[in-house]
Amino acid sequence: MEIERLVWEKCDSELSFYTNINSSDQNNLRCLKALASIRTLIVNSSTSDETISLVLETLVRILQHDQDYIHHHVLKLLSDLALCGDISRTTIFDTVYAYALRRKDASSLTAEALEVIFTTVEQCHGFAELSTSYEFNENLFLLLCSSNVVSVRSWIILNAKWFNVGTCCLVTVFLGFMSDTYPYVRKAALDGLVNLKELVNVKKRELIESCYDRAVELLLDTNECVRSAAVRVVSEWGRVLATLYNEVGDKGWFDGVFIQVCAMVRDTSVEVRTEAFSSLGQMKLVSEDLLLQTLSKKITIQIKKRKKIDLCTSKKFDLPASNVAGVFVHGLEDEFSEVRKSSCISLGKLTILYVHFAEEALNLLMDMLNDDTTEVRLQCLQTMYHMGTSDCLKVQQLHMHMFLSTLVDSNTLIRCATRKVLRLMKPTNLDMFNSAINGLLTNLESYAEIEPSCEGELRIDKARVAAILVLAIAASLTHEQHTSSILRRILTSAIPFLGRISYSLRDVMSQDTLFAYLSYCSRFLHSPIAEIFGQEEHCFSMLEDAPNHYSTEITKHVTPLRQISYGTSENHWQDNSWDPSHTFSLQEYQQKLTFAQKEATHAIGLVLKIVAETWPLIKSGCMDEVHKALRSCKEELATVSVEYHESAAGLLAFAYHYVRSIKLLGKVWMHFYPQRKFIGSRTGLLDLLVEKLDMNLRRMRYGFCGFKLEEELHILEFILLIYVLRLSNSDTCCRPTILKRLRATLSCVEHLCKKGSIKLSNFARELNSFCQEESSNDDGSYYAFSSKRSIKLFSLKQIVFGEKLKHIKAELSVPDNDSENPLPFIAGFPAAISFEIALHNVCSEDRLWLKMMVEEHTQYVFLSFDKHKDSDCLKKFALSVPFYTTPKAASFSLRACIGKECLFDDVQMAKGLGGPKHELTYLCNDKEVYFVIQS
Amino acid sequence: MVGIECLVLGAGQEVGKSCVIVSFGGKRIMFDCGMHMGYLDQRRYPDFSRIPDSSDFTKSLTCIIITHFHLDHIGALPYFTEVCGYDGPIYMTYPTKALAPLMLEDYRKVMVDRRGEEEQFTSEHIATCLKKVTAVDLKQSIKVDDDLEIRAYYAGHVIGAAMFYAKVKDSALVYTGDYNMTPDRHLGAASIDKFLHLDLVITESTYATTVRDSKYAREREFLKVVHECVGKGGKVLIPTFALGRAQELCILLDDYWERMNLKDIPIYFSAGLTLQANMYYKMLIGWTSQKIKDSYATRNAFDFKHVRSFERSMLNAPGPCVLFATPGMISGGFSLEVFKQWAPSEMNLVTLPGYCVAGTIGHKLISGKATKIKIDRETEVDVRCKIHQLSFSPHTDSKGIMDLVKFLSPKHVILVHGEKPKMATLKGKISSELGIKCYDPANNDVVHIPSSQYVKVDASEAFVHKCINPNPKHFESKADNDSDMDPKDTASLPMKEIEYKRVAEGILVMDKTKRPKAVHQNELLAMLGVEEHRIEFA
Repeated sequence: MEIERLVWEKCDSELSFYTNINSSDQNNLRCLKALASIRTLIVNSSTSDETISLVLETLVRILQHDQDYIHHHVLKLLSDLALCGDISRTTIFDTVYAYALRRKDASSLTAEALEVIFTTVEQCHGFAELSTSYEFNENLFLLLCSSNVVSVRSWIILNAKWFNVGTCCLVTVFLGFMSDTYPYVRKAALDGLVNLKELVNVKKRELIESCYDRAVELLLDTNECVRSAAVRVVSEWGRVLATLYNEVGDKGWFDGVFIQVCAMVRDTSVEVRTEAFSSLGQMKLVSEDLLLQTLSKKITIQIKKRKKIDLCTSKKFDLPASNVAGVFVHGLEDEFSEVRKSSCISLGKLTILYVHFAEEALNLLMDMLNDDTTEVRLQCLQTMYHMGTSDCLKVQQLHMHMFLSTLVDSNTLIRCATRKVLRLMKPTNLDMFNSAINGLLTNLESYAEIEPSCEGELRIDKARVAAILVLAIAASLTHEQHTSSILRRILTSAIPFLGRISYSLRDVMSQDTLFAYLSYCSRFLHSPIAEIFGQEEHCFSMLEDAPNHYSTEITKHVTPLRQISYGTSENHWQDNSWDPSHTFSLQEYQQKLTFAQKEATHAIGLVLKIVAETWPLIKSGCMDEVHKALRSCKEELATVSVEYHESAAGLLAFAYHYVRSIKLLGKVWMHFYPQRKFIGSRTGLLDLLVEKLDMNLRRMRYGFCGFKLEEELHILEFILLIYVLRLSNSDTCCRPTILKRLRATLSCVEHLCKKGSIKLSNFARELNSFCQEESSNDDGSYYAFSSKRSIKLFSLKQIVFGEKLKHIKAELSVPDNDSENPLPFIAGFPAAISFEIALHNVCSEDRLWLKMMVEEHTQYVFLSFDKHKDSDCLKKFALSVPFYTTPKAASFSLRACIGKECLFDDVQMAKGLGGPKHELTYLCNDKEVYFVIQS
Repeated sequence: MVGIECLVLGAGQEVGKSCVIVSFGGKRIMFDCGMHMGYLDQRRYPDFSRIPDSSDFTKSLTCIIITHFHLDHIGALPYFTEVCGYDGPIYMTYPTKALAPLMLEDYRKVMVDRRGEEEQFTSEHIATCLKKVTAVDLKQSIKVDDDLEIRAYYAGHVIGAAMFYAKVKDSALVYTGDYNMTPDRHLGAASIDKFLHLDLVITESTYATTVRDSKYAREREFLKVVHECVGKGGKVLIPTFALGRAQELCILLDDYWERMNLKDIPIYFSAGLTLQANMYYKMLIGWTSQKIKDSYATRNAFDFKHVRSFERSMLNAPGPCVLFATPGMISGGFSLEVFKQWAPSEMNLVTLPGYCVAGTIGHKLISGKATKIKIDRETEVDVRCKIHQLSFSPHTDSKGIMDLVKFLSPKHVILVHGEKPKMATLKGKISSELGIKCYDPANNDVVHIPSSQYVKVDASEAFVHKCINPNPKHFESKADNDSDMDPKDTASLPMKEIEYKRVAEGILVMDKTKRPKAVHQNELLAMLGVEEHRIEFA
């Protein structure tokens, strides 16, 4: 505070002294120094409001003096002030507006003054905010347009939208500027024209035409930036004109504009070429012969005979159709990958127009798969994919060699994209089909890509495809016995994914059947599945040495499967549903269970790992990638089957929560560290998100038991992070509560660390010291807390979650009640509800509550279940509960759910209703109970 | 002297010994100084005696400009400087200067040591000749003397190839040398500035009538045959010249190997010139294609990942491989030795360059389905291997020539370095389609073309100022009839009609110094020293 005052006083005295006397270089320098110090005051967020308003006063005062030489700096400071302070922007706006009007010239200072208003409005509010008291009229606009300062001229073009000027006038002004002596003004004018969306308003066709003509002339400008802007104008406005002329029956225009743009693809500038090609992609209604000519450098007779197109504008341009010859050949052969990429995209867009053209274009595109840049190859495959989706991908035998070779490309992305295209491809004959299958098999052989990738998807496109492929291979194994000819690895890598494969085949067979079958098949392998699960060798060695009894049993299972592969009747095997426990010996069944569970745990572990890996992505703000990865993680989880395994089910439920938490964290993170500088005030949404995240984390913490020490620490640190995030945002916090929770959680962490003699993480340590400081000075000034620093210290570690996790959950039901069969009640009297409750994995220390809500009214009932001594993991009982405050209504519905008290949260709910003392974590979804008044 | 005089000493209606003498604005430049590989007598050199004042070449010529290091463009240079005695400035690009001695020395060795011919120039001649050379960079303007300015532009073709722009006073011309308008794997496409205001372009026309397909098709064909061959366990022999094609094909294969994971199959370079050449390429990265320049920071593309050097003992080692060997047309040397070993097996493959000189084994293989080839009196080789002819070429096709001429839009074009009938066709095409006068002189012909002359006009400051800045008057409001319209109703345009008027107005005066000058109208009176008189009506 003291320093702030000193700085300000020094600045103020210097400024008031030097701005009152004549300028000299020395004075100038001192003024500038003082202004620089003022700037530090402005940008420092801890400067007091008092000082800020003094600064504002002084700046306003200086603007009223005639010393032009520092006005530029003062305006800049005002702009900063308007952007970062909370002070009244109206004062600033009034000042600079008056200043601009007073100057009455077209100097850069006038423009800068207006710029203060424009940038502030743009960045802080929105268009509508600007009050009507400031008038930016046509005269002011034209005054600035005639400025002899180049920067003002290009500035006015860019900011034309702020002025109340008619489109016609605007277009005319732009047209004028297109002949400016300075290239950047010309470019700005062209850009301005492209951005004029309401072209339709310009009723005068002559005006559009003269703009078009001028743009065509500028295609030959000496500056490349002007040429590339001109290409855009020619293409955009050309299309507008062409549509206008098309309405009156003149169709030549589309071709004309196309030829015009084609003339630019041999430009020396990369920028212009790229622009030209992307413009070509926008063209519509171009005649087919022209398009076909773009694919060949040799000029066809048709094109030679073609009349020259005369576009009837004010000027005539030479538009020989031969311009288009080989345009795309040149584009795809270009030295620069951006040009090649751009022409690839455009070519793809144009293929929708004509079937024959699409076929020819594909010939060129196929060759692009041999490009030396991965980016271009990928784009090429994407283009083919788009062609496939619009049904114009006609791959021929000729292409297959080139195309299939990309299946063994060393780049994963390329292989993946190729398979995507392959899915859309319709092979026209058996040969092609065969080579495609061979290609896919080679692909599998070289890269066993059934493993989940970092995005968590099954790389062989669909789990189902993979599963059927596995079956097919297995079938041929049992059939032919030529085991050496089949790649063993394919099958062995299939077995660990038994769960997933069986999941994707769930409509045709049970997991057990499949397991039996695959085990049977694996007998033909040189060394069985044990290769992969070495430690479990004994399980399978038994299978190997199995007495005949087992073999025959298994063969019995296999026969129907073999019939599937050979296409016998479906009913036969569908009717045969075996209960595995009958056909398997108990021992074998147990083995199978452990095996399947291992697999499920492994799969979930992989997903959790991927989820944890998204943390750096979230931190760097790549939310698209994060969402993509999380989405596929979720899909992946959906394929994990945990039918018989309690512990795996717990882990699975946990994984779902975990994925969800990370997703929410990503969203919250975007609010705190947005990519763009200014994000609208969406704090309401943020509150909601943080609340959701908090709830989710609490579910993770309290809804499971059997955590290991590290696991619990991991979750606790996560929770701490949320508190820190909440603290750092002054809008969202109810600070004392959060602090209290933070302290509580922190002490839990400390306790755990002590218990397991684990070192406290940097993040926790930083928070600890912060908490201590906080408690020592309770004067409510919490600026000292550098949340950013502590957040930087946080990192989401990868933790392997154990199998011992148990999901604490409840099932709540009210028998014989739904919206059709409501329970009777008498308004104002208590109504009895008989619940059936099942509790999983609840231990005796847990304090559970039944919560019932009708609109605002909430009633809690404590569940004591000591007397229900069922098995440890599952408690079932019925409970009859009165609901007291029935509303005075003809009917109502009540929402009930079961919650567990969060004992470690040191926050007590101050409600005198006899409800829970701590917050609740809900163990089940809300159950609705319906009531109707008793008649 | 007004106009440009072109004396074509070589490569007129033929391919070989490129040499054009251009005289304009009092300067005389020799573009290229090549030798013809088809002749062994005096015809192999351009007829230097036709140069005016041939008694003293140093006086007669202002400078020599060499476009690239191929022998038909540089072969006669040591002879001209060391034997004929030219001692003036010589210009070429850095890579050309670096690689030219390699080529010249190689040629000299072949001529003298193998064929036992009379020595035309010695190794010392080559060395002293190249000491006189001034190396230039691309787009670097060089003042040869007060009037003559030259500049090199990228030409593709081979590494270091350049097109040269030359300007004396108002006349300017471009000599293209050999160039390629499509980029390949290791070199970029030719590129030149647009607004050079040229009087003349002298361009090569090797492929005056050919229009080539996409280069990707050629690459695909090549990779397919090579991959199929090694896939079946065969050996591939690629005879090439050391510089250019070898690097191009090697980059192509190396990249393909990388992508297709063909690590087990070795690619060999036979030792010698090629390895040395690769070293030069590694150093001259700045002259290669964009892709190679871009990736240079991470990996030099000429550090081939899959290429190993070859030893003679590996010749009959089992298993597939690819081998690059010199010379290109299997006219002898190592490529012939390998050919003898590998040709009899059906599994193997030999790729041949697009053009083979008659009499070489390459030529025999291309021209007919030869099954037995006599190598010398005793040896005869059974040819059972597959033959693939490459159609890679570093020359631009006819569309490329047309594109370049159209792009530069000179007033005149002279075609050199091509075959007569094809040149005639192209000449017709240029004059009819582009409306540019075109010539295809034979050797020793002289072409005269007029050159442009501009009159320079001074401009006064006020005039310039008026021209470059807009004026409020430029945006004149027309009398608008819609003044009663609601101004807020922007949809019902126009609010006000604006007309843009802009002209540069000034007065052209010429005073006693005979220098014309454009002045602003307000300055006129002061300039003429006249007082202003106003007539006012009461």
